[in-house]
Amino acid sequence: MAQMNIVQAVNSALDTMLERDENVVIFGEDVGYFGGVFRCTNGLQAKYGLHRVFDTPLSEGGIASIAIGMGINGLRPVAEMQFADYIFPAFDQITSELAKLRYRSGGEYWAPVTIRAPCGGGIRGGHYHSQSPEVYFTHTPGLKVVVVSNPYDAKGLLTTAVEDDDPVIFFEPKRLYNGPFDGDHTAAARKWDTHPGGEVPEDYYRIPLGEANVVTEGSDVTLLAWGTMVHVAQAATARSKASCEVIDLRSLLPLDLEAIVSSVEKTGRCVVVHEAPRTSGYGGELAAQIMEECFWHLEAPVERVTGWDTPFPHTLEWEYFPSQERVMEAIARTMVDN
Amino acid sequence: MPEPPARPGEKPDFSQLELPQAGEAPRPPVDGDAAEMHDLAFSLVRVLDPKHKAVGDWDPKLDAETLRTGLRHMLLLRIYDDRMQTLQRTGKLSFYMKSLGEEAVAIAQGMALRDEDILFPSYRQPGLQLVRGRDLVDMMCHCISNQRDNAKGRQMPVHYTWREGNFVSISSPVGTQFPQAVGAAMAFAYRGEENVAISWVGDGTAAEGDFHYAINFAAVYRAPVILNVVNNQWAISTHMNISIGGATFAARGIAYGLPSIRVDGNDFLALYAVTQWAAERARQGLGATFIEVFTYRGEAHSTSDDPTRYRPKDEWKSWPLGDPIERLKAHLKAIGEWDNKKHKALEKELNELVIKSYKKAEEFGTLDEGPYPPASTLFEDVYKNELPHLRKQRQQLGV
Repeated sequence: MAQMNIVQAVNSALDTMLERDENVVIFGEDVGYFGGVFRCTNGLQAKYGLHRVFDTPLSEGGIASIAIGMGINGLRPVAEMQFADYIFPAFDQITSELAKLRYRSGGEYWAPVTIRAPCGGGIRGGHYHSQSPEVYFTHTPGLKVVVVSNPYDAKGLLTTAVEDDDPVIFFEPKRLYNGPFDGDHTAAARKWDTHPGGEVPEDYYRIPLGEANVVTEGSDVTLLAWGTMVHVAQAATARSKASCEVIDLRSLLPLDLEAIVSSVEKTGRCVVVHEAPRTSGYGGELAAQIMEECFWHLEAPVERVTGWDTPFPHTLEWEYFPSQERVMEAIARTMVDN
Repeated sequence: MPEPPARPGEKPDFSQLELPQAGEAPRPPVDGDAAEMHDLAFSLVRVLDPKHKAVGDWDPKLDAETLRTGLRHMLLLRIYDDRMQTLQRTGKLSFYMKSLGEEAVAIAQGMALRDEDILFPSYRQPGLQLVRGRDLVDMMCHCISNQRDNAKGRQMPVHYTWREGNFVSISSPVGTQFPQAVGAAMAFAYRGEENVAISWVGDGTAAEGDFHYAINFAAVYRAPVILNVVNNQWAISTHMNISIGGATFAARGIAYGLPSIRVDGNDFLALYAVTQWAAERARQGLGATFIEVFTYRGEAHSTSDDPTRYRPKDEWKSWPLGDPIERLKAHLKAIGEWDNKKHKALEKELNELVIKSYKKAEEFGTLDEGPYPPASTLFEDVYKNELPHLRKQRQQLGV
């Protein structure tokens, strides 16, 4: 085991996959010689050569489309979008092409593409460096969608994503790259060596997509979260009187509905926490599925703690960002009359 | 606001076209410097002269057998198209798109390639499948969406896919295949293979971002790819004057540093020669070529379109570059390798083949009566393996 942050864990996963599979190629803006603006591909070009790890023009649509063409023709591309906020020029290629290729060709063609994208807020990034666009992709059949919350998961899930023959949109919350963040921006920054998820094997390992992780066990309320919000939810739980079970969904699609249902049947209460705006957010989908599966077990309405329905702000970031306090209030609302 | 030269009720007017003579455009060496070929983007490579003889440096010097094969494929495509369009009018197909007037594009360019080369066509190059020997029955089964449709009834007609023929599944959103072809070409180069990728878009699509992605990435990485803009003058009702502000489509390639060639799209020999040149250049590791195929869309965009509402009814008949089938036929006759009797016999043979194939195709089901692919296939191939939520939805549908 080694101590790694998420940047190092992503790098280690990519290194491992480049080593194991000669069809893996990695590219994106600034990922080659420079090693990525977040350093996730640092050293890989020097180690594996220009033909396997390379820089691209500033062209997200071009990056996605060459990835598809390479995937069709036998390679296993891992493309980086420099920020999730910049994925939209590639939206047509991802949703109309990558997602539908296997289906529309009757299974004749597919492209095993992984698209990595740093996402989320908490870095004073304003609305173009802070968004969490995961639901645009969960809404498109044919894609798998992952959001990681710690280094151990990042490496294991990325390994699986790269090996998957279906396309995977792989989100890395950039606020978590260097350390866990529980939403308290006034506290000193922590490093991953203070968190069990910072222990990462240097060798190859996989974490299956579609398996949620129960990060805190509890009996009163189920908290569903992914990415940075896992840490916010855990911190809120620690301060709450209620006994909370925090589930890190890890992959939104496929979704580990079984884990959710078994927890909510036990607790009878659920709070969903996500950074993305509330309307049409994944929390709505989860609330609906919980209603369908566990309605008669519910003691209280499902609560959502989310970003507001505004663009992600700059100066007022902490008013937007779901806080421990908002999560605690939601937990308390589910506990009323009990 | 730009306007086409003529609207319905007006006389077709192609007087603005500058059409160089056959043999006029020089043929640079395959390994020539792109910077020294700029004139080719403003000229027009033509091989067949007014007397139907092959002239100039670009004459690919094909043997008569190859020419007759090309004629056969083009004629088959036209007969197949006519038959399928007629069947669409009687409700046997939901939709159809013909290649009328553009038959040489898929056939000549397809014949200039190797079977290992990967094709990223638009919906106007189904003829590539004929070049690579696809069974007409299979093509028809796709178009009538029966249980033998290898796209499993998931696409509108004409959106063929044929992996065995390296013919990549056709997509309706225009232009998406263009930069994908560049990625596929990069994969060939990555493995050190000599194969090339090739793609086609139309003049209208040259305004999409994907068009730019493709040429730019192709140039940056010297990808072994051939990128074609088939300028057939019309994008549904949008005349090319509304797609491009000046110069030629081919000229755009110059700005990216690619050899950029404008070719007479109704001249089988010219198209073959230019494609062969580009393929050879790509195989030598010298990178991409950008080609403007200058032609005219003889039919409606699709069976959902009525071109009499936006262009003169008989405009195609006035197209100064003629009909690609008639021109190749005239050439074969001029060199003493073909005659009207043989042509009539070939037409008869191909007509019978199409009719026979359609009868066979209907044995596997029809659009109206089925049998269709089983309902459970609705949920297949969304992912490689069925995900739990899809299994549940399939069970909800009871299949």
